[in-house]
Amino acid sequence: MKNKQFDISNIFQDQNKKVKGACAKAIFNYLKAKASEDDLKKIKEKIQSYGFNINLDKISPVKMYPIGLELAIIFSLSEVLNWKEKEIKELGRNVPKLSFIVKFFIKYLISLEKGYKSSPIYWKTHFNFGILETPEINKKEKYLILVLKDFSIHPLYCKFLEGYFETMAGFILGKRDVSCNETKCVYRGDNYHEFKIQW
Amino acid sequence: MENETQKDNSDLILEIQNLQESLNSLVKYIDEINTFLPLPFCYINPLGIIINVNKSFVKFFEYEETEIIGNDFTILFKDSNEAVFLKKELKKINEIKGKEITVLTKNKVEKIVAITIKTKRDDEGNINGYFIAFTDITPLRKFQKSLEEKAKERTAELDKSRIALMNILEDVEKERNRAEQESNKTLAIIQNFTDGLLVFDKEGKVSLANPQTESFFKIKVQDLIGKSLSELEKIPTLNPLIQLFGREIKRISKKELQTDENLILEVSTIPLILREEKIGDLVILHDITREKNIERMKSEFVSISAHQLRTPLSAIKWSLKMLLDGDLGPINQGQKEFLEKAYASNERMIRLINDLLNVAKIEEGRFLFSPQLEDLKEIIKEQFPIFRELAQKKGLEIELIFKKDRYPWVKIDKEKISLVIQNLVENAINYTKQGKITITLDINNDNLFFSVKDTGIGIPESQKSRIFSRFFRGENAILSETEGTGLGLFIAKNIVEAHGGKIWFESKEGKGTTFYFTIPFSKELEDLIVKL
Repeated sequence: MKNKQFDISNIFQDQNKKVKGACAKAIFNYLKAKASEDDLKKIKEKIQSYGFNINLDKISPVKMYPIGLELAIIFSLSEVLNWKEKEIKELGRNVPKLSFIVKFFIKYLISLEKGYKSSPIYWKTHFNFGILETPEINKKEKYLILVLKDFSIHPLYCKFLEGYFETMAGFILGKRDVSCNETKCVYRGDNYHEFKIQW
Repeated sequence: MENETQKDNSDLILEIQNLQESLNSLVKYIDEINTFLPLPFCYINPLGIIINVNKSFVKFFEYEETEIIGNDFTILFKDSNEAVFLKKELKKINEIKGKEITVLTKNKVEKIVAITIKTKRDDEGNINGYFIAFTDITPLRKFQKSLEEKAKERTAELDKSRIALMNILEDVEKERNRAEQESNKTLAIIQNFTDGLLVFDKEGKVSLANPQTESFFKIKVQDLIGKSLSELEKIPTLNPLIQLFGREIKRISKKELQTDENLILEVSTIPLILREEKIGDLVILHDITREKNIERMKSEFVSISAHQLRTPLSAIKWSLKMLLDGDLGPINQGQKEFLEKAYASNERMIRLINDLLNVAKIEEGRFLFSPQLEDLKEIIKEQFPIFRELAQKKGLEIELIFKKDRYPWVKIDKEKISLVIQNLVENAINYTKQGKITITLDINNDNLFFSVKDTGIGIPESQKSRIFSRFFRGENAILSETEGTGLGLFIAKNIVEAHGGKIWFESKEGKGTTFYFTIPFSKELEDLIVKL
């Protein structure tokens, strides 16, 4: 497991890097539909074992929570449900559909250009760390590039983001056959993360 | 300064916390509305991608949120063309209200909805997306459809009934035309019928009269229609006819009616029966004036001829009688036989002439009776020796039976009744080759009951109905006895009926015949005679 190759304890303990509770709540809602009661219980226990003693039902989508909580949830899925990168990416795909924060961002999801250009703002609305940049959009070649800098959480989270960006891109492209792949990653020796979205 | 900055920071943090709390409450509120709102709705972006759905939507369309969000909203519509059209419309208009459309659920269940679309714009008026609400009108439409189907069924039924009714009407019309044609035909027949026809309805009023009736009574048909017998009686020309009927139209068969000197009608009435119910009476007026005139002329001719013949025949009779009696000198046996034959032939001729004269008188209505109180037994007794002699000549046994010692006297024309008895007994003797003749007189109720029974040739069944007709003789009678005139029974019938009696017979061919006649007597008169 990738999570075992990285020291995640720092992330779990980091109280400065925060993210809005929308994702965590959306993930939890997704799990409520997918996992059994028993698995949910195990997942909650697992999250607690990572040091997050929090009632998941009461997570507010607009409050800021330590990024470690979101990572703890993802890890618990990997541990309890044995989810791999594929399942985590699928989770990423579904979270924007259930996330309340997307509704705040609705005014940007009206066209490819507007959505693409607004994505850094959207990022900042979610995260209090990391910088999302929009260096290239090629409508002719049908792709766009997203660059994420100063963002080192865990490679599994990169998979989550791949899925997340894919759905968000689908919203602004008006298409379902959209793919997102991480072409550069800090965990592969690059200076930043780069996601290429094609349609 | 530092304190002020610290204060500002803490105020800012407090404000942010307050804002976050408010936002949190708002999110909760929106979430609760989403969960509570029973109306399915979704939010789509300007590209037509479904961004958000509520719980009712999930339930209505049977999609999970994650399944449907991110899809083009046209996936929801049954008719892709309609979805494309709607997508184009959305760019032009701000609002659509209650548009009826058929949607498809995840499980391809069709539902009829009224959709309401509201465009969401930002402060600059740019379109951010659309709210789409779905009102399920499937039950309403189903109800409407069932109503329409019922109405359709009912309409179809009514249509069928209408067609059936039209057919009936057509049939009725055809039938009416046919009946009218029949009626016209019947009317034409009635109008052109040579007999006069008068139809009375069941109230006894004239409902129809033909032109012939008009002509007979010299009155217009319209003056007859609707009139009752009592009203018709007042019309002079019709009076004799109405007198014939009496108070109501009774059954009449071939009754003669002389309305004036030049018109003799034979009147018959027939009750008109329809489905066992009497609906009126038909009076048939047959003009027999011509027949009557011919008959009268014929009778006159016969009468005159007979009278003219009887005088010389009487002279011949007495001349022959004198020769036969030897008043003119002796004759030999051969001469006597010839003279006897001539005498017999002359007698037959006289009888024929007498018969013809009687018939002529009967037909002319001049067969006058001179009724007197007579004892029929005595009349028969007077005649019997002649009958016995005739019977004995043929070797027949003859018997006379008086069932009673005494018979009431009857008012009769002796000569005529003697003629009846003579005709009947002589017929019995003439048409019997062997056996017996039995003459009987009895009383039956208020009638003298005479019968003569023979064991003769009998009357063939086929000829029984004509036996009392003039000049009619049975075929077997002609073969066995050549001398008959065919007038005897006609005369007998007329004489008996003129006395108020009846005449009839029973016969079996080859076995014999019995003729009967009755003469009524008056009990009161008889009682009076007995007292005297």
